[in-house]
Amino acid sequence: MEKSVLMGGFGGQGVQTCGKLLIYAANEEDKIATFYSQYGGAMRGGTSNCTVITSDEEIGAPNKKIVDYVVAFNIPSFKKFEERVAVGGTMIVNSTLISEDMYTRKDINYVGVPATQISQDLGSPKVLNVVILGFFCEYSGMVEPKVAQEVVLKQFAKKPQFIEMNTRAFETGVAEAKKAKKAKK
Amino acid sequence: MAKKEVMQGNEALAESALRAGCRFFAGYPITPQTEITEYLAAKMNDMPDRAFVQGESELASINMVYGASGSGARAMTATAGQGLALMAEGMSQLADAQVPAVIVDVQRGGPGNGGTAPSQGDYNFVTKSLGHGGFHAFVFGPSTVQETADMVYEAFDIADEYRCVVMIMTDGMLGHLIESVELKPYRDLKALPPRPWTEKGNPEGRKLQICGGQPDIELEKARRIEKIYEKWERELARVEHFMTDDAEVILAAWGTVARTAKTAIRKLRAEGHKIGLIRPITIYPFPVAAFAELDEKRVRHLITMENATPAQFHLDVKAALGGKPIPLSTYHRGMGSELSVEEIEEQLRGLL
Repeated sequence: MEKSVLMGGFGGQGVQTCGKLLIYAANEEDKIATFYSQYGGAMRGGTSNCTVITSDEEIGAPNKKIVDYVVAFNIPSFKKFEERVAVGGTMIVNSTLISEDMYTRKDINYVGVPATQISQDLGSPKVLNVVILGFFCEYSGMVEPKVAQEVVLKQFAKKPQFIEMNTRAFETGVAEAKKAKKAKK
Repeated sequence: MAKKEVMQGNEALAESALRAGCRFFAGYPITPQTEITEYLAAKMNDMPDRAFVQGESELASINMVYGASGSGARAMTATAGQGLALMAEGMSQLADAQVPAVIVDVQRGGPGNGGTAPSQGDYNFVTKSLGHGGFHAFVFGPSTVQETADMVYEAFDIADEYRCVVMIMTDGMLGHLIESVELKPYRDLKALPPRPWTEKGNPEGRKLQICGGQPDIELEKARRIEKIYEKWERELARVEHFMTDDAEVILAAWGTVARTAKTAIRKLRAEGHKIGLIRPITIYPFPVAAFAELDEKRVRHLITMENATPAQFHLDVKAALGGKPIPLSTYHRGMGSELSVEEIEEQLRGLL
């Protein structure tokens, strides 16, 4: 069973890192996975996106257009990628920047996480992508949140001063996803 | 603990080359190959008995590879499009002197500067002759990061055994794709196959001297090398048959186009369509038999797809089919981005 997610945002928001952490976690679970990012004019302030697919069998296309989940870190990505969510799929939005009145489709689910606000409350916009990663893992079940959290901590093994903030960021993301799942029921 | 590592295609290739015993690398950065050069630049000069050089150009780099390999070291270079064109003279010299090397082409657009997006447009250049005078390299066309790593590992052995150039042809898509990969162990540099023909430590010297202008000697050598190509074509061509057993419509594709197509083929199979894929794994030697042996009573259409315009791979399939009465068509694009699974599916649906 293949599961796919497309993440998009501004260069500098940590979209690529978020996707990479996700594939590292999938690998820890011995899943088959791909990470693909179209290269070119990638720069701070430009747009940045990546597609991660997990499966229990060989993955063919790593860049398919229609995906199960889209995660929009910012408004341009929301506008650009909303059409790429599969019917019945889910659009996860950074609700600090994207408001509900922007939603245009009736055949997909929308769920918001105020990721920018949370990261600012935690003291650094840099943990935005870790908030989103925690949220995404818990909400989608694509990888176990515990496994992803270990991968995040491993990334900061040499920078212990960042561990606490990233742990809190990840856990807040997970807690938000639990709330969102409950609200959906 | 995970069984595998997560690596980008370019990085996995570079690491696997080191593990295969690559002792010398010279190259010049070019998108989408640059990560190979970067990876080796960061690592290789800190390893005993290995050397990395960033050449002042591709022309210089291939000649450094020539020199390093000629004096005994397993040597590699990596480039893309224009860089490979600059190496043509050097690659032809390598072929003439029968000095082995592993050369990587991470394909980008062309002709000329082209774009930096993935392409399969170097197919004819690489499979037919890498330079003037006429000769073949052994050419692998991987479609996954795992295959890329495995093939470069094996490439050094093939290069040594046949004293030839072995090419790894990836593209900007596979070079930048990140997947899980299981790497093979580091080869003991002291236990690599002997190279009795090199100039290093050879008291007689001049073993690699090229005897230009002596037709008898040159012809004898050319015939000897031709026999090697015949052996490759007879014994070493590799191919993957994907869901072809009962297929009535067959797609032929290589590299990233083939892997992308698998998603479309699985989807169409799930709908009950008898459709399959033939994927050449070595693109020279070309797996002729896979096409020559197709059952014309069962297969009602064969389509080739490739990321190049004009079509190139298509012509090899056409030749391999040898006039067999199976309708053959081509879908090819190139000049922009990789073929998408959606457009592949649409093309295949048109044949059902």
